Amino acid sequence: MAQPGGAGRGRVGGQDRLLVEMVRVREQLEGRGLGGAEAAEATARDVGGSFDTRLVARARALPEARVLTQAVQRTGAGMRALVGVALLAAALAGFGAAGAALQPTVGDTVNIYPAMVGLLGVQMVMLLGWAALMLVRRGRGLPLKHITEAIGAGAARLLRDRGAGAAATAVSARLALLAGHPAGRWQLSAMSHAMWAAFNLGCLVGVTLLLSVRQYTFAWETTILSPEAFVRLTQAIATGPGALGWPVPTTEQVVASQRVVGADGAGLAGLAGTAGAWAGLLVGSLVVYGFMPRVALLTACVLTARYLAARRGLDGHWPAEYRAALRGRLSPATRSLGVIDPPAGEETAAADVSEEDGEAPLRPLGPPAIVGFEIEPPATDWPPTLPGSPRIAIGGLHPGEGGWRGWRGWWDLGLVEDRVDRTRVLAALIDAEHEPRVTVVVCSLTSTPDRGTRRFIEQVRRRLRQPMVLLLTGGHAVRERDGAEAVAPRVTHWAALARDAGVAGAEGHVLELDLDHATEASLHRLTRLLVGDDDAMPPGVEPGRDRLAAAFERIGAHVGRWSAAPDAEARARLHRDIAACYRERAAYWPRVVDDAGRLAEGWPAQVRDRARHVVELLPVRLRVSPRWLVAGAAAGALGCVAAAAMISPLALLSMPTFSIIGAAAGAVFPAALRGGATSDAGGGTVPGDDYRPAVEAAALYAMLLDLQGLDEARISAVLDEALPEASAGEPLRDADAARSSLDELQLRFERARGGGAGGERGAGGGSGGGGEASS
Amino acid sequence: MSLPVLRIAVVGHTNTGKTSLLRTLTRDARFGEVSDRPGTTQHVEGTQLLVGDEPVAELYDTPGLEDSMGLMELIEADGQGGRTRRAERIDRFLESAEARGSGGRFMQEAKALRQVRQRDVALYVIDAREPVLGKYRDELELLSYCGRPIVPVLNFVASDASRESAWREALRKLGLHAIAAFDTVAVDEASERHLYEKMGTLLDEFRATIDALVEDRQRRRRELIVAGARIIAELLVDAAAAAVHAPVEPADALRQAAARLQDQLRDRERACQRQLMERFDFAADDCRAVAAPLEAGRWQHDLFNEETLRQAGVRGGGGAGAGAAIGLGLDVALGGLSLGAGTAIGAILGATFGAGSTRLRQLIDRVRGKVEVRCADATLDILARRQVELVQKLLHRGHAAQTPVDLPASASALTGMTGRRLPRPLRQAREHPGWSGIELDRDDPPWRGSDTRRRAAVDALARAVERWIVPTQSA
Repeated sequence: MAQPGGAGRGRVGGQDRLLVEMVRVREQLEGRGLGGAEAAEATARDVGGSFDTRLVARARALPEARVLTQAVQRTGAGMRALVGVALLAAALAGFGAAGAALQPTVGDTVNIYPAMVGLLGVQMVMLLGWAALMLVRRGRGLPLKHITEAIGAGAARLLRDRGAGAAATAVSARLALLAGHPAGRWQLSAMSHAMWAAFNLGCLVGVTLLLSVRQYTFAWETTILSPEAFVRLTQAIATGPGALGWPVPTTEQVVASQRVVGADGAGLAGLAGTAGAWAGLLVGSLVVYGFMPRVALLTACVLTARYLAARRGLDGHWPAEYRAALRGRLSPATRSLGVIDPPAGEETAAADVSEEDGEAPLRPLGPPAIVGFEIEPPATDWPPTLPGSPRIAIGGLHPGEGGWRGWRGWWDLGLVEDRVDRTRVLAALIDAEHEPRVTVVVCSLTSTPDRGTRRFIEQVRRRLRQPMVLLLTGGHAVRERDGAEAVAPRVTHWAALARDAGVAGAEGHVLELDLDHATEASLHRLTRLLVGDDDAMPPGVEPGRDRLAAAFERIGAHVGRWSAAPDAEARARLHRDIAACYRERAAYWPRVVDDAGRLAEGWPAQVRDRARHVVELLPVRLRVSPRWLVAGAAAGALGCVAAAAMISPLALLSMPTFSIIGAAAGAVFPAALRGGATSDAGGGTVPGDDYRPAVEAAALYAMLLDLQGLDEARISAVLDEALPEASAGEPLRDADAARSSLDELQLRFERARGGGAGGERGAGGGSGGGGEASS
Repeated sequence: MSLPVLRIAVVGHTNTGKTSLLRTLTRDARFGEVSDRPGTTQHVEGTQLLVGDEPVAELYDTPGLEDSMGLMELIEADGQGGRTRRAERIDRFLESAEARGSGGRFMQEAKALRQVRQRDVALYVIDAREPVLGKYRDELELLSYCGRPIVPVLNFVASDASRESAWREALRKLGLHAIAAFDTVAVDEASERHLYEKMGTLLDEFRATIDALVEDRQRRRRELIVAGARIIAELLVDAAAAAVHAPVEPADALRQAAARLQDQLRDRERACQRQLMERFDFAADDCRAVAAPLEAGRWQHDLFNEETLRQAGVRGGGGAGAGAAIGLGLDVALGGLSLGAGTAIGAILGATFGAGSTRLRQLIDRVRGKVEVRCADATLDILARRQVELVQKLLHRGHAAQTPVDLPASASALTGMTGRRLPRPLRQAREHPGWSGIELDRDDPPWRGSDTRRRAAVDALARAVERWIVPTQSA
């Protein structure tokens, strides 16, 4: 076992190497994760050192390491036994070969050259083949790599089938190690040389035994070659053994040993010691040309393999991605240094009180002031022109002839960009004779509110007694940049800053209004804020609250005031109230009424178009039902009237007009408003005692407003799900019945609308509705 | 051996992406906290960049500068020392009550400036979408007092709203010429290298350190590509080889088998994407986001349409040459035999040839009354394109990215992809149902490690995928 402590590259013991390899085989080739890998990797990171050291540490720290190590030992013993058997078999083969080679051909005569070829020839050819392979595939993988892997895979599969999974992994790992590195082919070469050495040893033993106990006559014969050739051949072969002291045949002995077919064999033994010399040559050749080279090569291969293995990394043959993955986990690219300068409590919120400007002086009121703080000059004009006010900005605060009363222009404090600007604005605010009625600070939602900004706003506030408005522009840019959902958090952050700076309070405001994409409606909002006129919003409807609930509540309230089925005027009032709940959706109104001015002369056509449009929105199922046809047409017609009232109050001079419109609408749509087979109260001209047509038309109108912004197919789908069956319902004769019917409708609608959030947003249009956050 | 460690302070206005820059440079999506609100980071946090266990650089994340104007007023009020001793003024400020303790007005600024004073270089992170305002100029002036080289880093340059040129102009006027553009959300390989090189131009003594760092980053990127290609190749081989068998008789059985294959391929793709996300060090949340479009069922239209199902039983390997000829010949030869004999011959052939030829196997299957269902070539092509696109996106994804990776159902066209004919390794895989790691029809998972030919095919395919991922890079 290697010591992980100071181990450098290539100093890993065989056992550890195998263990690491087995873990790889498990994880990478067998494709199964090992339990506890993360803990093991943490251990390895703690151990530190080189990558190899960490690999070993990781493998050892795995819970499966013990099982795997045992398997390594078991398979090691098995493989040693296998090698022993193989060597024994080789030796036996050699012994057998010796017997076969010394088989006399005629009588006791052995043909010497075939015997030598039988013993040495084959292994000489194999030796040459080995050398050729080593030369040809130098530096490359083992030529037999695929075969060894296939054998290994077969063995592994066999073991696995018998339930010895770890052993199978060990075999695979051993083979992978063998095949994955040049050292492997030297190891295999050593194995092959060892086998041949054993073979030679078997041969030698066999030959010596046979020569000891049997009397042979050695001879050679030829048909076409001359005796001289044999003499030279024998002398060449004899050089080696002769030099080492073995008796070798002399020239005369060689010549005398020729066996001539037909001649008497007696002459062969004529020269004394000939047989002994031949025997010496045979044994000597086996040692010198068979055994010794193999032993020498075996030693060389073992040494080379050891040398290579000693400087071999653990991961040289690993696929890059496995190595890289482990490297990333064991040797991470970064190391945390932790928190260095920790936060010391809430220092920022409590600070900034140090600056002391004293109380702002009491001054007469002047026009509203506006200052752009770190914003780009808006694409539209600066300062923004308010509806119904002259486009005049004044540089200083000097009242005109009539004083400030009725003046609707700005006191323009300009844009603030750097410290000089800040100082200028602060000085102007404190030096002015008149205090602005309202001071509007325009900030950009694209920038992040910071403490510097907060300090400036606080400084401005300290110079004022009158309210301040924080106007947040650039909402459109944020929406473009980071998506619509990024706007709301930004507004919240700015509102928090305003609160910290003391702006938002009873008299303070934060308003999201994109000056680059200002619409009439949004500027109206600003005007209202500046003038303090907030009459149009029905009481009880707060921004942010579910408008649908509010609208349904209003329907309920109206129903409570009815004593009979409402006439057109009452219904028009109801629809106007519902519309008021959706007032912020300013972008929608111009779509309802194309041109408010045209309404005065052309309203019947407008009313008809709207009624038809709403009816078309109804799902086919409901379009055949008189009940919903009536409700849809009424919702459209009355909605048109209500919308007109919203967008341009002047278009309809007074409420009594509604009755005329109601009557006219009834006249335009006799089929729709009065065609219901079960109800004749639909037109509103014939008051009955069934509230249902009026209630359902109102509810449908509220739903349609709520769904604005979705595409029409979607609106249709929601309505299809929300509206009950097509047949006429029970007549609703009192407010309680109407309310319970409304509750059911609301429930169905909310279920059908589902998340509903999608519809909320699209209707906001360019101006970004619903950004008001007054606390 | 050990290089001097480059210590970098990362400073900037609040919410400009300092922590994001650190995340991206360290490839650590879990570093610090990132959000779109001011003052997310209130402390200084450090991290080391390692090259082979040796730290080469240290990065320090600092709280944002918020009130540089106020601080400038404070520093200017300190009359001592004159213009030449500004660094001393900074040091005096850092020792003052304004900078220390829990009540200090400029504690955040002090933390940032203290880091700049202590480190070798400051990276000044700029939100390039912002106009060049007076407060930023004040911040740069404050930093210049600290007496350390400053490298402005323009973040969000990939945004449409970027004002990169205006910023470059303004920075040049302030005498800062080594400017790096580095979008922490959309990273490209060159911009990170440029960032380090810009620091190198200002810090000669750290040249070797920076070179080592840049080299290491490039090596890691190559490793990522190789690993990503391997993961994709495994998926494609698995998908190409995957086959289920269905009886011919009830028409519904084929549909069911196809649905099973379809489900398993989807699971396999998700697994592949999880692997890729993990390999690229992205968080599990992003991983879920990747899987989402698939769960929305978009595949039904793209991968497994009627045409695919119709083809599934008929064509397999796509090689219409020898295999078809053999199949046809045998078809004729078997035509006259009874079903029983055909089954027997089929069994014998099956035993003899094993998984030799797709055509042959299918013929045998048909005789046995079964058909083989496998995914179409077009499906493999889509799988390949989607994964390659994912890897390409991940390569350019900053570790500060907050939005999930959006992988459309059908990936954009990539040139040089699988083309009209499947790559050779995939055609090979078609012939070897046993190569598939997708667990079909069998109880125990096949042992894939044993098959060296499969491994060779995956190797070859992985090399091809590398070229799809980085078309210009020579393999």
